[in-house]
Amino acid sequence: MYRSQQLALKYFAAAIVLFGIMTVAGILSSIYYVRPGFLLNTFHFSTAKILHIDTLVIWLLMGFFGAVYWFLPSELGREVEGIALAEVFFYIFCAAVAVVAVVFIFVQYGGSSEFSLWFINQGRKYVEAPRWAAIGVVAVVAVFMYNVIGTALKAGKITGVVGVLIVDLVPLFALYLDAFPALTNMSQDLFWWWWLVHLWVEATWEVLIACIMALALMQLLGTSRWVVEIWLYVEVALVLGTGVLGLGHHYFWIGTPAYWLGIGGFFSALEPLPLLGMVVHAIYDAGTQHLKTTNRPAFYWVLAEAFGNFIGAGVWGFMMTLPQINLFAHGTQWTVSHGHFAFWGAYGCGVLAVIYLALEKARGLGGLDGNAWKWSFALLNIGVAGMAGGLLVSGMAQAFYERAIGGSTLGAFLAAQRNVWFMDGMYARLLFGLLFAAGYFVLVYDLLTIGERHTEAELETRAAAAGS
Amino acid sequence: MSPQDLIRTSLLLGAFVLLAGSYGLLYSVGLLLDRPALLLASHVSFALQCLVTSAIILLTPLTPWWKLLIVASCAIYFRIPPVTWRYLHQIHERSGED
Repeated sequence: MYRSQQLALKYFAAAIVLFGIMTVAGILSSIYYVRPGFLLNTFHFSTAKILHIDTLVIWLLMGFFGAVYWFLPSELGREVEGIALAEVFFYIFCAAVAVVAVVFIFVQYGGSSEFSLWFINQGRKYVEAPRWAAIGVVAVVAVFMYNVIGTALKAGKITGVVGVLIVDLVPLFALYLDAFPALTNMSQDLFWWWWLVHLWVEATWEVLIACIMALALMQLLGTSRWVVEIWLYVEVALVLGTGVLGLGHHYFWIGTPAYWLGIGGFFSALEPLPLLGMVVHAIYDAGTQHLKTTNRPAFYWVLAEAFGNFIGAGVWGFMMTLPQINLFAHGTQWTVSHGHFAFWGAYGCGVLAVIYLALEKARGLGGLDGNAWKWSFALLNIGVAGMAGGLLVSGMAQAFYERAIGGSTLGAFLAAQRNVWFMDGMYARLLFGLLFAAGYFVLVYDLLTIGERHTEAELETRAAAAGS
Repeated sequence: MSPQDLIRTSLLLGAFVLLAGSYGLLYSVGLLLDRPALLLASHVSFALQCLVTSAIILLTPLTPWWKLLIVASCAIYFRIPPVTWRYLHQIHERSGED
């Protein structure tokens, strides 16, 4: 095994740990909605929420890095250039995440000073990490870029997938620099902040996961490189064509010009079209394999990625993306519902597929199967679908009672928070969140033991065969 | 937009894309397994999507521009599964020849 692939396994382990912290912080956040006095003056709701959404970003990012470090050496036929530096930066990355988490948990917030900005919290959603840690993230991404580009140059070879990946790394890096400005004009600040959040999630990450899935499909199903690369170009063109200007669907209530709403609505309305193509593609690929593969968990997580992306981003997104609806739905639990489903479908499932793929090779197994992965697959997916459903009910109640009837006043906001539909949705979210958490624990058990259990089963079969 | 219109419109828009997905899924699985019943079901699904499109046009307060976009999208959704399937088939066949 290449050193790069050993590093990938470390990234996957760190990603799964952060996935767990995200889940726990999510459960805590959901409890506050049904028990507002929960941990009063001890642990703030805002801190639980920050931990929930920041670990979401970091576990997915670590999963992407792990996936690229896993596939890159076999794709280019050599060890990753600068692997020693990458290993050092992995530990720096983990240490920085741990320190930031400790500060978030024990300090929680600071005054409006430069010190707070640098050492406690930048205060911008999704990129709350204090400035020193944000600089660390920039350094980690820079090393990652150097690893990918340097390896391609040293190998004297740029495959289609690696070419797309390299082009994508430039905006991935450049857009994160947008996490730093502390503009005093809130409209300007939010205008640029959305460039980071939207263009990372609906452009650069989409391309990154498309590259990762292309590499995974070649390994998992033996799909030919030519097919994978042609389809990658088509999908990336369609996703970028609709996703980039879909940026405008966030520009509500922050003082941006009104034309953005139409632009955003139009391009967002087109976003489900390529997603439907991906569903057809997934079925075609599954069919060519007759649903037979040596790594069933990875295969089913790839399928879940295609369907989850369509439902979470496509169906849930389209329900609220036209300006007339978005005007009311924006910033309610409705958006949260869409966010949960879309993040899980588009990215979470893909990362889990690659982890299973890597484990099969790392443990030298001829295939992966069993029952535990089926339980975790079912619990996690039912959990997410249930949470998205519960949040949708709550969000619609908010849009209906607080925004459309109440006119978005403080009184209407408070009344909507007590509304029975809102509360029922929140209880449902908590319940399905617990189901999701159970799925997480089964997943961890499966990832830790899947090779060993497989070997035991093989030994039993052999023993039985020898006995007979 | 009235509160009732808000919920009605968004549910219709969700149903619109969900039925497009159901059409694509049934169409692809029908072709894959060579089951005419599933292909028929896929077209029933698309017919339902057309009904939802009509409901969006007739029952929602969306402006004409957005209604036009929905109609155009509906036509494009109809073509996506067959075109995608044919294209995938072609590139897989060419890949096999290579």
